[in-house]
Amino acid sequence: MAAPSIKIVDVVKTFDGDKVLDGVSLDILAGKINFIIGRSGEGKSVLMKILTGLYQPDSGSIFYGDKNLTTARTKDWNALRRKMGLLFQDGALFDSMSLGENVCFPLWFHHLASPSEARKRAKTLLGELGLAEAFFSPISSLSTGERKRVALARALIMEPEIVFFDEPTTGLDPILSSQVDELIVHAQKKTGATVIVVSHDMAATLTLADTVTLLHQGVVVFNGTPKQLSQSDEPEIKLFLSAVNLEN
Amino acid sequence: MNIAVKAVAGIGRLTLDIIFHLGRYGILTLKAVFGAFLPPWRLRGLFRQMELVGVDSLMVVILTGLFTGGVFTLQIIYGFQRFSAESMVGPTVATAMTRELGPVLTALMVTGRVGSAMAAELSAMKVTEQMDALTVMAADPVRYLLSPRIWAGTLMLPLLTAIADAVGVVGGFFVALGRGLDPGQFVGRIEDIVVMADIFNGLIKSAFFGFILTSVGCYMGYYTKGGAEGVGRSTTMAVVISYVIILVSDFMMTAIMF
Ligand SMILES: Nc1ncnc2c1ncn2[C@@H]1O[C@H](COP(=O)(O)OP(=O)(O)OP(=O)(O)O)[C@@H](O)[C@H]1O
Ligand SMILES: [Mg+2]
Repeated sequence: MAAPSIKIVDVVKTFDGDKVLDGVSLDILAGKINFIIGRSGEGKSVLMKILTGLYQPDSGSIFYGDKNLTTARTKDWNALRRKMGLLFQDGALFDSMSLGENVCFPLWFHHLASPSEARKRAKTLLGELGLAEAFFSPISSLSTGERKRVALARALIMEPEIVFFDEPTTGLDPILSSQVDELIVHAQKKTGATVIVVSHDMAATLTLADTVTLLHQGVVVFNGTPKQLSQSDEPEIKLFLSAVNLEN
Repeated sequence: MNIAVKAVAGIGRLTLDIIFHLGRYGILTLKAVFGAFLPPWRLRGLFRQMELVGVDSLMVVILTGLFTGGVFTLQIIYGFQRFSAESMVGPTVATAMTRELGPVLTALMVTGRVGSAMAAELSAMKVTEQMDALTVMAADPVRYLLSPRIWAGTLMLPLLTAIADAVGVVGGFFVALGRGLDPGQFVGRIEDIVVMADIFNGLIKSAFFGFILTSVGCYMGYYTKGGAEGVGRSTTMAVVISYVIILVSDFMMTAIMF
């Protein structure tokens, strides 16, 4: 039950002739919190989708542990996906279901818990996110921040070994943000999962990350600890940090 | 010369497009149709869709059948009376309803109600990444979303058509009474002239139409691109394409069957 490391080797992805990822190579550390930062449109979400098999890279490879998933069949991907959670940047909640059904869905779909057991687990998790009351609310009635938290709960309900969070705190107020950050750290500690977080929140990046990667113009321009990041002399990194500091 | 070249290029491109879509449609539908037989079976999803396709379309189908049978009788009865062929009104209405009007009009009505709704719902799920979310949860959207829809259409359309057939004949019956026929005249020869094959072939056609209208709706939804505009486009296309296929295939099946 050891969470795997992920190795990304020279991944290229083009959309309509526009090279979004231009040879990204990166080691994601097993059982650690890996942050990926970068400006809007640099391909962070695309990279997440490649890592979950939603997009096929044009070239390059993806390894989970020592298993090459690049050319893997759907069956192999699905075996892996049962241990994965992904929080989509826009939530991607099922709007034909209630809030609670959304969170229970993975458990219910894979018959991993009885309906009452699933509901109990979902309620506990939603309670930690301040949403215990809203179990039966329709998705359309939720605010952006509420959606984000529901999606977060849905990504975590299976206690996955690999979790991707695409901007988990964007759109949340500062208090909720820090609650969500805490929850992520807590969940990681509990399960020892490999966690990948895409974030624009530099404060969270510097405090929570075990390792930080900066994507710029389709390649990795920095990979190291938060401390190394804040001490780096690379012009691109300094620019990025100073711009972010001004924002806050 | 230049125009000729352009025309040929255009035809070539169109042909390639059609082949591309047919191939992609064929693969997707095969996966959806046969994927339904692989365990785990999800009967709940199937029943839910059967309810949406069948039960919820009842009202529309009954109205359509009733007035079609009625207006058809209204049209033919005058001519038949002139030739004292009153006893043929009932059989003619029944034959027309079971062979053609029942299956085709039911299919067209259900396309407008259900095929379009499927295309809209699935495209919305596609563009808001709900399909991707299913995929990442190792829940194959084709089997989870498409299979029950296509099977529900194929199974429910014959039932709806049977109802439309029956209601249509009843509608014709009352119109005939209103035009001075007596009940025995209308019903008397239906049994002699309408054979089981008329009804049966009509129901086979309707099963095929049910398959077409749901699978085309699913195909358009599943491959939608580009936000809200894409959703609208897919929905319209699903209806137009289903209509065309239903009408053309009806002609071909009729030519073979009857
Ligand atoms: N399915 C797609 N089709 C075409 N282009 C796409 C697709 N997905 C992403 N792109 C393009 O890839 C680029 C990177 O997008 P991506 O969503 O990965 O950015 P991001 O780094 O996550 O930005 P943000 O911080 O704003 O979320 C964008 O220019 C986007 O338009
Ligand atoms: Mg993004």
